[in-house]
Amino acid sequence: MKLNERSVAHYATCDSPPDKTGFLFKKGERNTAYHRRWFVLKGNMLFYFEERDSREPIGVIVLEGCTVELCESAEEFAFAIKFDCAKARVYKMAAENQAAMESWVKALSRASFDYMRLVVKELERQLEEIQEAAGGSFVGAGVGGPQARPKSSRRNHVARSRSGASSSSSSSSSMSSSSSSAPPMSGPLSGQRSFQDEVQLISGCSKENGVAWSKPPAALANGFVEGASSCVAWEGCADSGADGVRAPPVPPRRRGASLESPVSPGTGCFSKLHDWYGREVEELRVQWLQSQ
Amino acid sequence: GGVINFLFHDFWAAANVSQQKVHATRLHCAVCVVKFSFHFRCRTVVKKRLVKLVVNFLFYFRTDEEEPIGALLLEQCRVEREDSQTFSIAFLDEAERKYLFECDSEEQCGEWVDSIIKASYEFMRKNLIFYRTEIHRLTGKDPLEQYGISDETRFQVSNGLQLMPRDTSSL
Repeated sequence: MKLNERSVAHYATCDSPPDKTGFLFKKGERNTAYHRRWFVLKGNMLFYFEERDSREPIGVIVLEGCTVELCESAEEFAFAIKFDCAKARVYKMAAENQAAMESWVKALSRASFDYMRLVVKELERQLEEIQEAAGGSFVGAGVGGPQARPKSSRRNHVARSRSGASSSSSSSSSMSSSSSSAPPMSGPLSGQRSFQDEVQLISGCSKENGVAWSKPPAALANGFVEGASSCVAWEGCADSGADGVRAPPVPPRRRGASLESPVSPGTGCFSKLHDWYGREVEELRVQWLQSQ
Repeated sequence: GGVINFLFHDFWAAANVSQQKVHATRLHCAVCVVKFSFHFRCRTVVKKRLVKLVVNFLFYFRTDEEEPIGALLLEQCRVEREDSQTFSIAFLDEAERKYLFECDSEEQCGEWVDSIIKASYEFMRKNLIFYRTEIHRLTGKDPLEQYGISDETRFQVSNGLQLMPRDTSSL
């Protein structure tokens, strides 16, 4: 089966920070000895290299639909990655000590995309609850701080975007620019009213060309375009809450036409959306817990 | 360069099985005309493929086959609307090469662009970090604490540059 190998290898070795790295012993398939390899966990992909300074991975295991368990083995500190499929191979690994083994098992068992999605949905739901509980008027304050603040954070933010523009495209993962064509976050995640209105205006007229990374976006759309990159820059500094929130990465869009939601969005239907997400997350949580 | 030993088949098999289980976003199956632009005798090859989005992979199939013939990992890439019914995917390490996808309708095209944008682990991670920080700011509490996952590397604001000291050198 074909894969965009070069780009996959690029993801493995690019400067986006890995979730975990270290040496592990991996049992070979044909040669059943354990080979010491350098492992790099990024997202749901477990890459392995022949040597720590190898330029390209020699393999990758996609950590979806799998379980990670301790296993019986002649090797000490052994664990296995197993897939929920009769035909699937079991990947036997061994760490160098107990602590490393536990740390890897923990990291790998929560590496799936599904798990990340579950947590994101849960936090999204919590944030909505908080903002809903606080009432509509809190929405602006919730994102931008008291009235006086949002302007300064927007200025701050545009300046950051301009200077960060060249570096962000290489380190930022992907789609921040694409999201600018989307209607902005509706409901409680929209930020203050006027900000939301302005962004809606902009995205409305630039629907066709708003996605391109290279095309220069309008200043406020730039806020959204650069949302992820400013977030990257923001990640580097410790004052996460100090002077208000930089424009966030655009949260999952909700649209009636989108496959994700059976209900049209809009404030009138928000409670339905909220319920729907709540049910979905609850179901996911139950299933996830059962699968543990 | 070497060829990655992509241990894929197990994942695909598992993904197939798990499709019935846990998914908040519905898997998106549609038949799209896929044009791969090759720099080969200045010719663009156009093929009709079934495309399927599974987590952060876009699989493509011959329309009458069940096993995918290929996949694209959707990290470090750029999704662009090319025109009303066409979108493209380009990878940051090879920006001049685009995979073009022609859809049946403008709406379908928009849905695909949207879905693919969201089908990135790194994108989700950024969302999570935002929500986490925002909830903390509003409530003074770290929402991940109740799940006992506050310390996980993947949820850190500056992933890789731990705000809390952590010794992973031995690991």
